[in-house]
Order: sequence, then structure tokens, then C-alpha cells
Amino acid sequence: MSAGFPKGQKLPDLVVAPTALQLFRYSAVTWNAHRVHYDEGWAKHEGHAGLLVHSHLHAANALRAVTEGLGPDWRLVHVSYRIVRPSTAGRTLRATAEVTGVSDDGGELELRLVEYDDGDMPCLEGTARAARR
Amino acid sequence: MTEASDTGLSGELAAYHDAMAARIGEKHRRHLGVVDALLIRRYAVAIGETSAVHHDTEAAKALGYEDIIAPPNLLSGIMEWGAGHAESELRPDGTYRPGPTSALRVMGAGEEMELLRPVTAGTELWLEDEVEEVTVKQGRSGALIFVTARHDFVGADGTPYNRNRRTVMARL
Repeated sequence: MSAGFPKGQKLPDLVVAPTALQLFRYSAVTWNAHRVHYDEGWAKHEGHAGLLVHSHLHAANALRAVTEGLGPDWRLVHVSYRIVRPSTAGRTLRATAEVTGVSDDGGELELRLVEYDDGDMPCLEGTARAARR
Repeated sequence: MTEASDTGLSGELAAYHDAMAARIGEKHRRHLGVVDALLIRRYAVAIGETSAVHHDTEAAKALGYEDIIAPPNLLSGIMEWGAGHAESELRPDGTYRPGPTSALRVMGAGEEMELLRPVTAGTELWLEDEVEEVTVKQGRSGALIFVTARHDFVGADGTPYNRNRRTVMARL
């Protein structure tokens, strides 16, 4: 059995920089034709600064910070998040996860998730619960 | 359910609100198909996920799975499980929405996901969904409509895999 994770422990940050190519491929694999993700002219027409990062791609980043930080002995069982600020291709995103609670037997963890956009501006905020497999 | 006449909305915002509000409580069930290994691997590549459990069958088996497993939000991330709509049926922004709502801008606002069991390559799924709530809030640039829908991904015998609540925001 792997070591546990104490309350207050911060998992390693996941730093990514979504590109236009990544957003196009995410749109393709999810069969999402929304032009804000691959047509920069349209995205600006809608008032965005550039190609809009998908809300689910933000979530995928946040969840990777958890799964990669906890390792294969743990599995996610519950996730809740809000997109609090849109982000666009070319910006650097930093997904963070911190253990905020541990069950008495150490078999379940509560985590706080925040993904930051180019510095300290949150673009995703949420929580997750993970259970030992 | 809140009628648009109670919200002060007009035009396309009212039309969208009413179309969504009219769907509250309507339950739909449809066959999605099989989540195969190629979809899992492509989704993992698209999100930059390199963990072997999403790519390598033998590595997944060594961890006790029958085959590679889907990243946690693959099911919720797929926008269209079927063939999709003809281009002529899409709105100018590329999305499909009922009603006269061409000028609306929509984006994902958040989600709650219960991940009840791993989705292994080869899993056949059905989707049961329902619009649960339509609310109106005032933002800095005008009215915002939030539509929250429940999405239950289940197996042939009703075995639940994911139970999600997703919120989409629409504005002019």
C-alpha cells in the first residue's frame, strides 16, 4: 500500500500552455464544432481575447494534477468545479491541488483544486474526492 | 419553472430560456455506443495525458483493470456521441441549439461529476439526461442564463459509470 497524504499537502503543480493545435484536436476528439475554440476571428467576434480553452480541458488539467500527484493507487470518485474566468490559447495554465481533508482510516482524501491563468488569476476552482483503490 | 415573462428577458435570450425551461423534467435515454481503446487513447493524447493506464493495455492490466481506462472526464467532455448535425443545421457559431438563438454566446460554466466506476475500453454505454434547472442572473454585461442538466452514463443493465451535472452559460 502506498503512503498516505496528510492534510495540507500540496501536490505538484501541473503547468501547461494550451496551443491552437491542442484546442483543435480537443474539439475534434470530442466532436465539438463550437468555433470559439478553433476560429480566432470568430472567438474575437464574440469578445474573447483569442481561442477559448474548453471548460472540459480546464477540468482535464485540474484532474491530471490530482491523478498524477496521487499516483495509481488512488482513484477519483467525485469532482465539482466552476469556470470562474475564461482563458485562451497561448497562455500558461497552472493546475494546483491541495489535500484539505483525510478520512479517519486514511482511505479517502478531499482536495481543493485551483487552476491559475498566467500568474495568480484563478480560472477554475473546485473540489475533488479520491479513494484508495 | 420560470417563464421568460417573469425574468424580464426578451428576444433571443427569452427564446433560449423558454426552450430550455420547457425541457425541464423531460427524461431522455439514448444509446451512445462503445467507448473503444482508440477513443480513450485519442482523448488522452488531446489532453496531454501520458499515463500508461490510458495507453498501454498490459500496464492497465498490471494495475488490475481489464484494459486501458478512460481519463476521468472523457465521458463528460464528448460534445456529440452520434454523427452530429449537418453543417446547414448548425448556428453561425458552430453549435446546434433549438430555436432562434443565433446571436447567443454559450460556454461551459462548471460541472459536478460522480465517478462511480472506471470506464474500461470496450464499455458500451447509454446516456440518460434531463434538464434540471434554468436560472437567470445579471452580469456586468447583461443577463446570463444558466442551464444545468443531469447526465447519467450507464451500462446495458443500468450499471452507473458517471453521474454528472453540467452547467452551461448563455448570454448575448
